[in-house]
Amino acid sequence: MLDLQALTKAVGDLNEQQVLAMLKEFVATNPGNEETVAVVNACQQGMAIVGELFDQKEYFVGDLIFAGELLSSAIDILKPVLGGESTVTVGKIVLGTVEGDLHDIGKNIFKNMAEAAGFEVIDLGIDVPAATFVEKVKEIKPEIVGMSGVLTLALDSMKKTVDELKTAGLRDGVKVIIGGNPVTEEACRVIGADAFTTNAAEGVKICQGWVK
Amino acid sequence: MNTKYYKTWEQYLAEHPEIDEKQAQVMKPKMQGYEDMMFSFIMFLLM
Amino acid sequence: MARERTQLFRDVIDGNIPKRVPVCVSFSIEFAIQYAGKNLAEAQWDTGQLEEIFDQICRDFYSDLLPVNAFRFPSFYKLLGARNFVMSSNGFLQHPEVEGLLQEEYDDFIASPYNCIIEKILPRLYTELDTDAATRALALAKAFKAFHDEMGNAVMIYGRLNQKYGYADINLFAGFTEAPFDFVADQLRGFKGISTDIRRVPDKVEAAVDAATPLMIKAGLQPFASKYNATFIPLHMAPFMRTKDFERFYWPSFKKLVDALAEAGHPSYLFVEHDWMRYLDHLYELPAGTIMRFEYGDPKLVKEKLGDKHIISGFYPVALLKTGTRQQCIDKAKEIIDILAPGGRYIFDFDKVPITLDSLNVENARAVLDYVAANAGY
Ligand code: B12
Repeated sequence: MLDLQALTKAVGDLNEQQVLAMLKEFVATNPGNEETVAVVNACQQGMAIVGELFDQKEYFVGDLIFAGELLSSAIDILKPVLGGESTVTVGKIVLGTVEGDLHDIGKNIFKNMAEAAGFEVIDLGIDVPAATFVEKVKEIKPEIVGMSGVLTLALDSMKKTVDELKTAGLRDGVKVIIGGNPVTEEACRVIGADAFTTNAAEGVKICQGWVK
Repeated sequence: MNTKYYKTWEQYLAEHPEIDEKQAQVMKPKMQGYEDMMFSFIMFLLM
Repeated sequence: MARERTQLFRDVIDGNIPKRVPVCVSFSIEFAIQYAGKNLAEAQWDTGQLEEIFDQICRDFYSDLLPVNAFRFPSFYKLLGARNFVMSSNGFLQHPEVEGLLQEEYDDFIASPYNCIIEKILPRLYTELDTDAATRALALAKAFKAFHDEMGNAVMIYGRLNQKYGYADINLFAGFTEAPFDFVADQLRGFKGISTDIRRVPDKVEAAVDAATPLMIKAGLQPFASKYNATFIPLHMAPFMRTKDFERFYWPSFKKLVDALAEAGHPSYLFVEHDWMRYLDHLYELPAGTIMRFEYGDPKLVKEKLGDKHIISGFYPVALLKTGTRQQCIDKAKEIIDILAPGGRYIFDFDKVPITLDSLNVENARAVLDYVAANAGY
């Protein structure tokens, strides 16, 4: 069995070669679902270490970006064993970077982590108008709507999106979480979201709490 | 610069032996000038 | 007036104490258009309007150097079908993330950067250059003409405004280039691409940056050498890298660039974007008299570490001009000047270029600039 602690450490160190080698070896053993979930957890703990090192200024934005890429290649390797018959998605998230904003690095990190945690993520991409969010929520009926943005003006677009969800009578049917550097508690209140975070791992935890 | 898309005047002259010396003198600033203008423009497009 | 102002900058550049701290602020073209109450998209296309628009900035905001400087116009980008600079519906020219060079093309770039630029990168970023040979030639010809028309128009406007308002006769934007690593990062590999590459294909990144360096040097050369005309270099990626990576991938080629420009007689004017406090010792190593405008950081530390060798600028927080009271804004200017002015080698400037009219309170901005002009004497 794969050394979970070593895996967590390798992810934390951003040692891609080692992570991928370990995962390939693991997948070759045709593991069961429980084991796979443990491995995914170990990867996520590694990402949490990355987040901590970022806070401690050991890592910088470039390293976060790479961590996102690393996680996505890790999940790609695990997919065949993850997507087995017994895994049901724990919930659906409609996700996008809001109108006027083209930044998607943070959004993609959150997406990868949420998928790794078993969510089905419907990614609407960047510069997503409020109307598109509304349309997709109507169509897909997710439990959660995730909005990302790093421009100051993104906060206005987030508010607009929540307002339009309200107008369409959809707001009460979903939880709304916002992320990206400029979001704050104050902004969260003004926008009318249910939760905010500038940390993707924490965002996943919040979402897990909602679908329990 | 190791490219076929930018020529210094010396390179150009070497390829055009028919240009006499007197004419070369007046040609040089213009030919080189336009070559450099195009280089600057191309680089600007990527900055 | 112009003579006196020129002298302020010459003194700073020569390492003498000027009569007063020179003021060099600049506003974006978007700010200027909004300030004049004009339509963003229309004024950037119909550039005949720009003189009147820029004139209002010169009239209302104190500066010792021309306070406007625009060089990106939608005409030539549109003629080329640009994907790297696109005007959004609200009239802002935006820079979306692009990938002009694929990871598997590094070797081509390393072998001949300029060939690779012409053959692969430009067609990928400019859709009108991704056409048959004849169409491509015509598209480039149109864009080149548009570029020179727009720049010619702008230069004429700047000349007339310089005359009218008696601005100093020095030019901090006489040349323009980028750090070689930023060049490879920004439009060739993208932010995401380069951050991954330095871990997955580090040797190729290093070789590509080295290969780009002579081009960046050539791009930054000015027609004539003068210690009073600088080459502008905005710096991007360094704060987002680990120091170890910075030292390997960013610094050596950047240092080479600034050294080479200095050797050719051109000082560099750096816009030190974001947080460079980790790299002050590196910056110290650049040729004496390099002008550094800081966006962020501790002015005291910067003055202490760099103040005896380089020329410091920036730091004044535009954000305060929006939220602060008039008195707070003036006090802040006083505070920064008290730290940075002693001993000379200081030019007053904001930390960032105000991008939109609502990024500051106009009254506060004016009050601060007038205060500096009237009170920052030596
Ligand atoms: C990378 C970058 C770019 C890249 C974007 C590449 C890409 N594909 O995203 C490029 C070079 C293309 C770019 C372009 C521009 N940029 Co930019 N950019 C940045 C930079 C350096 C980093 C942003 C980033 O990715 N951070 C890293 C990620 C991981 O952090 P994050 O987004 O906060 O995400 C984390 C959490 O918040 C959370 N999270 C994020 N989203 C979500 C969503 C949910 C639901 C949840 C739960 C969690 C979550 O998870 C992540 C991991 O923990 C910042 C400066 C900085 N240091 O922040 C400027 C910055 C954001 N950019 C800025 C600007 C102005 C621009 C441009 C407008 C410049 C221009 N003139 O064209 C254009 C953008 C055009 C547009 N309309 O968007 C400004 C914004 C100013 C402002 N206050 O509005 C900044 C702050 C730079 C500055 N100092 O001026 N940029």
